[in-house]
Amino acid sequence: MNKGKIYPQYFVIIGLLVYTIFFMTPSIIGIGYSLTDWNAYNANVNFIGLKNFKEIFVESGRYLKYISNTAIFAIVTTAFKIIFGLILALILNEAFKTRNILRAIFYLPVTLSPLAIGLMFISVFRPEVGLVNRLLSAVGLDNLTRGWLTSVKFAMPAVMSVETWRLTGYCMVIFLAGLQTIPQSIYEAAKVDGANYWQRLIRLTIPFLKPSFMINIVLNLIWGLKVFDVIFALTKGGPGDATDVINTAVFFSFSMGRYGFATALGVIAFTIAMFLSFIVIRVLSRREVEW
Amino acid sequence: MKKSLLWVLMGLLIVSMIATFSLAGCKEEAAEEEAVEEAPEEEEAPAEEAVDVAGRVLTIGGSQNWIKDVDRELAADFEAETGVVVDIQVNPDDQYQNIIKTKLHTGEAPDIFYWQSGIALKQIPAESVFDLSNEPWVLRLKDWARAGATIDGKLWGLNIWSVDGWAMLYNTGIFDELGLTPPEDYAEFLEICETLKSNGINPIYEWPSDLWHTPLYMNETAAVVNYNNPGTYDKLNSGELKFVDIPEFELCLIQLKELADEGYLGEDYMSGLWSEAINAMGTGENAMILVYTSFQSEVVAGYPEAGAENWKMFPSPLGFTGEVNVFGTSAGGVVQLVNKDTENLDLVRLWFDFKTEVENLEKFYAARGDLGNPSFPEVDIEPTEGLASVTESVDGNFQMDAQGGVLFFDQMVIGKYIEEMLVGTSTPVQVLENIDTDREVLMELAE
Repeated sequence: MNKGKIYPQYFVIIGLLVYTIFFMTPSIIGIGYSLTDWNAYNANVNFIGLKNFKEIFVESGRYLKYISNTAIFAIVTTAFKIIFGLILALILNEAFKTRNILRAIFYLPVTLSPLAIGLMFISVFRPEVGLVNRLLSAVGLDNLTRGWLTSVKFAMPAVMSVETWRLTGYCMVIFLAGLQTIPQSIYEAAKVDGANYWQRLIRLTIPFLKPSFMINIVLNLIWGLKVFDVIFALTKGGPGDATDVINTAVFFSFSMGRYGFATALGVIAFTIAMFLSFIVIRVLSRREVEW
Repeated sequence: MKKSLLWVLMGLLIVSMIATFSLAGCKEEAAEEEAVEEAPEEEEAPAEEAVDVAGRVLTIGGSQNWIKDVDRELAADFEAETGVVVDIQVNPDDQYQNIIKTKLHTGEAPDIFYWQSGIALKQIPAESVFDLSNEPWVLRLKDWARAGATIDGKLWGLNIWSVDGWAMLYNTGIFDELGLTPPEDYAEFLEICETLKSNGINPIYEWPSDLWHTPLYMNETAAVVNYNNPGTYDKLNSGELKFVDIPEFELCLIQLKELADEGYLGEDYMSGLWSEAINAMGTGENAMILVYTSFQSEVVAGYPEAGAENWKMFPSPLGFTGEVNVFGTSAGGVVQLVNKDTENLDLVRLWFDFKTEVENLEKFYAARGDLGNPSFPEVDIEPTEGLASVTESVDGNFQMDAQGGVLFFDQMVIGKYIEEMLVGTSTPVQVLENIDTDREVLMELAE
């Protein structure tokens, strides 16, 4: 392919048109609705300026906690998914007999419905008959058994562990793809130079995996900030508001008929996701390895 | 080059926005035109026309626990008789209302949809509902069935349900064995709970995490308050009175928290589920439960040996220190509304005529052991032991509950606030303040 070839700008029009109509316009309209009192009880939609945002950020402390819960959920689950995904990818990148089957097994949760996973883990975490508590009891750790989803302290970690379990396989696949693009000759050269496994991992593998890290971080942060289904299926944001996130608040606001307010919450989630993704892409793009 | 791209992008954005708003405008205009065209239909029910309806589809939306096997059987009978295909769309209980509201807003609502009667009907925009006042079956409805489905003088829904309320059902076998009798007041209620607990029986089965149930204690308290202080609902609906101003509500929440803290709701009550309630009572592991009067029939069906047909009820004592002599009842259960935008009004009428035939009503109520007082006088049903006992207990003093009488009594949201109180992250007063804040905003929006 001729890398110097410059294609005419009109090639971009169709893609741009589709993207504008189906992605940008709804987002902009959403921002517009977030400045209104659009609701289920009154046909008139009135412009109310920043009143919805004022309620979220100033008048009610409730929503700041939801925003904080969302951020914690997104950051922690992203970190764990990436750590476990990388470990699995490194193991399953080695040549051994069952590696393809294991890759499929670890990827399997990604293909399941989050709601189905939620219902499944309600049983797993049940205080009396759940798998987790039974396993703990079986190994003599009865003092660690508890109502995982009904404890204010442990509900969020339990929900985060389910999300981590669900999407670690996805991160693993991205890292596996990245690992297979690294030239083997570099590893061989490093071995000749006397580099051990850890040195090769730190000095070669991880720098070469920067693009995979970037994809995983950006996508998982966005998914984490958009989380709803897993949390709603597991705890409905409870106990109390312990696992409430922006989108459960959107749901409850919408169910109360406060569509404009729910849209304002959605706009906040969208803005945070855009902002974080922009930072991650800017930071990691600068440090990509080229060969 | 970058500049020209920017211009292209901006141009596209403007064009697409204009197109979107134009389409929205067209839709509104079209809807208005349709409304004008449809208006005469509301004036009078048209004479039946011999039109071939075979193969056409009638859609019905309902919440998971509102649609039973008998509804499907009747739909099959209707299909066999008319050839109309009845598509019953069922949604989970806790999400049903949101889904219907959303579908109404997006124009995708089914032809007929189920909804709670009474003031809850006001959650549906008036322009989304077809006026059924002139349908032929209306005159046969019992007064309460017509009143509970009437808003601003128009009949919004067909009631084929029953008037019912929430009272404390108790296992008479366990009570007799331990020498217990129904409590006269809250202090006696606590003593009963303690006796049950010390005998290894969980006093009350509760499931706060499903959110919709715990507000029902307040729902019953409200009925007593409105009975003792007529006009309370009106004052709550006008904003003259707030929830936090009513001391009985605070006491109700304090007492509920006390029951939880004393372990009378069970050790792991936060993981309780409504779907396990029949099991929880049928096995005899729990002695009491706040349910509707026909719940015991469902226990009888699942656990014939449990003797649930003999179980009795007393009014919830929460919210008061003295005797409670009022039973809060609904505005008439669940009614069937017609989507104003339906293109199948003829099928809807055929279906309603079919369902209100005496033979089909009898079939429906015979299969629905959970429904006590039928909405059509032609059908007669023996009341459950629970209903008979709670009626006797309150000397027949029935009063419409908060669900039926108070605007924006949103069980899911209130249940969430109560859950926060139960886990210790808020106080009873904060629960009431949160409810008031939400209601204030919603009332302002609805003005």
